Amino acid sequence: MTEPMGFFTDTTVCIGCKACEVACKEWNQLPAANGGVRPLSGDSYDNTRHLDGIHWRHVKFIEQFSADRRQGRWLMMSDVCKHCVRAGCLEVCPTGAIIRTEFDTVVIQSDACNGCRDCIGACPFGVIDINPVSGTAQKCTLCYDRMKVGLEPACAKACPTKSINFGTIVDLKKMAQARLGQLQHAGESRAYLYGTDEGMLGGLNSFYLLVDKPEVYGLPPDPQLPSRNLKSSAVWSTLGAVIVTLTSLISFRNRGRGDV
Amino acid sequence: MSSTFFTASPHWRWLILAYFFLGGLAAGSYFLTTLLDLFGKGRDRRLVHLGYLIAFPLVCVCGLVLTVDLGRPERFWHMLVQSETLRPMLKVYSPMSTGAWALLLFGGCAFLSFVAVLAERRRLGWPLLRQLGPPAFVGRLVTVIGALLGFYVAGYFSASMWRATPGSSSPSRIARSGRTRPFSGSPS
Repeated sequence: MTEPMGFFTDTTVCIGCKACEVACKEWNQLPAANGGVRPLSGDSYDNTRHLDGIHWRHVKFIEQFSADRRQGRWLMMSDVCKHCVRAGCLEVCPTGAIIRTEFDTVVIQSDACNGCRDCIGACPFGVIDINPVSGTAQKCTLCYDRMKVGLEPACAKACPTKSINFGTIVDLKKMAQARLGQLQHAGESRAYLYGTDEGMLGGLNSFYLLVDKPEVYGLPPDPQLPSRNLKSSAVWSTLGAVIVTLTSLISFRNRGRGDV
Repeated sequence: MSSTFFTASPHWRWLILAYFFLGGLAAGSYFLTTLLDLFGKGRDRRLVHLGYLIAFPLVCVCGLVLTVDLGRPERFWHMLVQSETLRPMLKVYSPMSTGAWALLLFGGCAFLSFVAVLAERRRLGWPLLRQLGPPAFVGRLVTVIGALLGFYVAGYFSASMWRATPGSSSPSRIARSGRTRPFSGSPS
């Protein structure tokens, strides 16, 4: 295995140009939705709205305004698969289509996936969805094909403000710490790193610099693995089995005895 | 906000609902019939026959419904056999993976019991097949294993849905409600 690779996304310098979205769709040859006519969201300048099978990068616009529109704040965040070190999708995938690569990234092999959609519900970030053209679950591959030949992912290459940074996790964490220190020194005390802590699914190989609570960006504050509830599910199912068995045995016995 | 509201809907719609219902019927029928077969009386025979006769066709429908619901139905076997290496595909910690196997094996047991009933009713002219149902030892083994697998089939999907992301079992409307909404809240 080579060194773990990933993204560090500095949301404070994102300008919401969506060049990453376009570069991603172009490189990965992702189809247009609705015959190329994107329905307008009507309540936002963002019309992509969420990640899905044909949008592997999505620049979230968090548009916050007071009721009288006098005060406002825009937060931009280029969202993508987090390539979790302990990934829920990889855990549940029943076909083995989802694998961990030599770059410590998580990739769905489209030729093995049969579209059961278990991974969609297992992802705590809502990243995966079905690509209607292939009929399989798809998401960001961290440009596995480009990394194989030493190129950086298309989105990072296209980003004009260096909001999306690509590199080894070790280098990216150093870069993120330096940027965090710089921001805090400049008085932005709310800045923090999301996903660098190994307590969060073993660490996210695509982590973020944010300036507000995770929920504001549509990110879970405490994402969990699907296996968390396996034990309790097993206990309740077994309990159900025991109750059904006892009830039916008793009723069978009474049936024989009553005989009316 | 709870972490459950940030996930997306897996679009498990009415085919899956049909599977819940029919799978529950098949598994429940087989489970209760096994109990009745092993602990019931001679006059329960007709009911026992009926239970086994119901279970197998229902399992077949379940498998069919689950296959049709896949994004790529022709690849249904990828859950049982790795498509590249042709080795068995099983993840013990994935309810969906173990569930696929349980459904297959339960279907096998249901088939054997189905055949045993037909033999007992002399619809099949090969008396040896009656060994596949109780009181023969092989028959007892088949029904007990089948009943346990049946219960697993009835239970595993709840584990698939009831996990870190209960949002996955809710309609997409609810699952998506936690996603970034513009114009929400005042600037802080």
